[in-house]
Amino acid sequence: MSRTRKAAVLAAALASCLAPAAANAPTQVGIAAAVLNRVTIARGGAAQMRPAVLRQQVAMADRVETGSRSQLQILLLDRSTFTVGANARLTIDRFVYDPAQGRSMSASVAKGAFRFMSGRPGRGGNSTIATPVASIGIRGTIVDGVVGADAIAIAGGERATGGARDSDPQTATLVLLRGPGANTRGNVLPGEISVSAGGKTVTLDRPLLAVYVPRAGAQPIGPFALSLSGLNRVQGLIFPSLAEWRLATAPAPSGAYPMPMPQQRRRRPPVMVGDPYGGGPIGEPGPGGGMPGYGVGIPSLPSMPRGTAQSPPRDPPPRTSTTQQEPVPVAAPTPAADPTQYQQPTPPPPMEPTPTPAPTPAPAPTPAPTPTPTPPPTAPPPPATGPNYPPTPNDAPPPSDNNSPPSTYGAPNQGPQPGTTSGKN
Amino acid sequence: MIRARALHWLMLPLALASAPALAQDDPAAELDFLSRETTTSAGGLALASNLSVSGDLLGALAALDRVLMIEPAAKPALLLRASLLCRIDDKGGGAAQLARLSKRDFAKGDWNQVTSQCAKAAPPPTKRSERWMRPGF
Repeated sequence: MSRTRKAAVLAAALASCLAPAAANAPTQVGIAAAVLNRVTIARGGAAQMRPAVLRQQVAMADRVETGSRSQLQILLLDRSTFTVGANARLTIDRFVYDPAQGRSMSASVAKGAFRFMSGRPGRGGNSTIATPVASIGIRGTIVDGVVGADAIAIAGGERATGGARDSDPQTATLVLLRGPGANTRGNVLPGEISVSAGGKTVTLDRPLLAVYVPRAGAQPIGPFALSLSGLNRVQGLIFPSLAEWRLATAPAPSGAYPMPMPQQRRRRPPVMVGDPYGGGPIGEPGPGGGMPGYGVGIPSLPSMPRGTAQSPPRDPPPRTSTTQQEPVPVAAPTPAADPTQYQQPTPPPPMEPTPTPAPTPAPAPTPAPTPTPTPPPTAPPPPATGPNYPPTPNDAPPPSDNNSPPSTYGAPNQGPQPGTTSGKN
Repeated sequence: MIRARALHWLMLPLALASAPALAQDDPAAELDFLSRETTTSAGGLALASNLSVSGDLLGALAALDRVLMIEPAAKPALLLRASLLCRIDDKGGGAAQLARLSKRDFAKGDWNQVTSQCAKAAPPPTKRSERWMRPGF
């Protein structure tokens, strides 16, 4: 047998072995775009939980669990994101995505804090998130939610909930709309969510409106405007690392929503090199070890740095430990760039006194945002396999489903969808 | 070496020009790219800036969420996030974010721009603001 023929036979044998596996492979719905600390995923309803790996594929019916001080962001195929905080349990029950027509998704959050952000503005998409006691219909917006005892603790501080009495610590649910609101700018449309429980549906259409469902069968309480302390607690549950850093640096403001004012006092930093306001050149720490001089990091300013010394490395070094944070060299080390620093809080940097809640004077009229016409972030996508890409059988293109068009990347889950009801969309 | 580097810079615009088609054709590769770009605060900040300039404010916020997950002390990311929250009309969220930051950590122009953006959106923090936050007002 010639060498070429041997190779062809070997390839055919391999293909015949791999074909059934590809056909049975779960349908990919997204990737684990960011993983912090202890996050585990059980494939397709399997009992065994495996540690999540950065950028591993997430498939339909995968069950995701996070440990304490842990966090995960799932980036779905339509660029919607699902972020879960510590001690959370999430399942993507159903995901259908057609780039031309939009997305339809339903997920279940059994416990913990979560944030869902709709992706791909301007394209239709309905999403439903089911908690043990409520169903949340989402249309083009950002929604935060908390399921469990933390929801009771937050709702207990809100006058509208009456102390959150008679609540079930396993299933109580707090839902919060974050935006976009009616006065939004940019290429986004105002969104809204509807929360259904106990035979009643409540619609939230303004940012920071919240609804609380104390137990199964109970009707939603609200909508009510979540207080600042409540907002901070929700944020702290979704972003435990951010909450820890904030605790180490500044006390949480309380009371009404504060509004820091533009600079008024002329307090100059000690050393002036380059940037007169404390920052050094781009990519270098400021004088006295201060913040790196990002120059202007706000995109509506015309002189936004791009593609200079701050350009991220295209090929980060392969991870050798089990931590999910890629040890990427940073050109300009920030004061707390070391991921371990927020586990051992460093002495707080000099902070300004808490902004006094005084009426904000009318600021000087700033020029209208004149963004440089920059193409969307597009670069050649990295290869699908690499040191950080888990060798899963899903690397092959997703199999087409008989119930969906060929361009559809997800398909309705054939299994039961407990607790999932369609929201108002 | 020099020749290879020159070739690289020549090829880069071509690669960038062909990227949109690739991204549209392969959503999975696009997700991978978006995730890779946010493994550092600098890369994530650049990505979020580009997304916000292109009008994808929610995508920019999602990118910043990833950055802050691994670098919670990335103050430029926090400031940009506050700006974006105000731009999507999450006035209270943006103001609460700004209240945690110190203006001394930023260039004067950046700080003033964000605070004025949020001031345009948010009411002054008086009793009236609580009234404004009440549903039905």
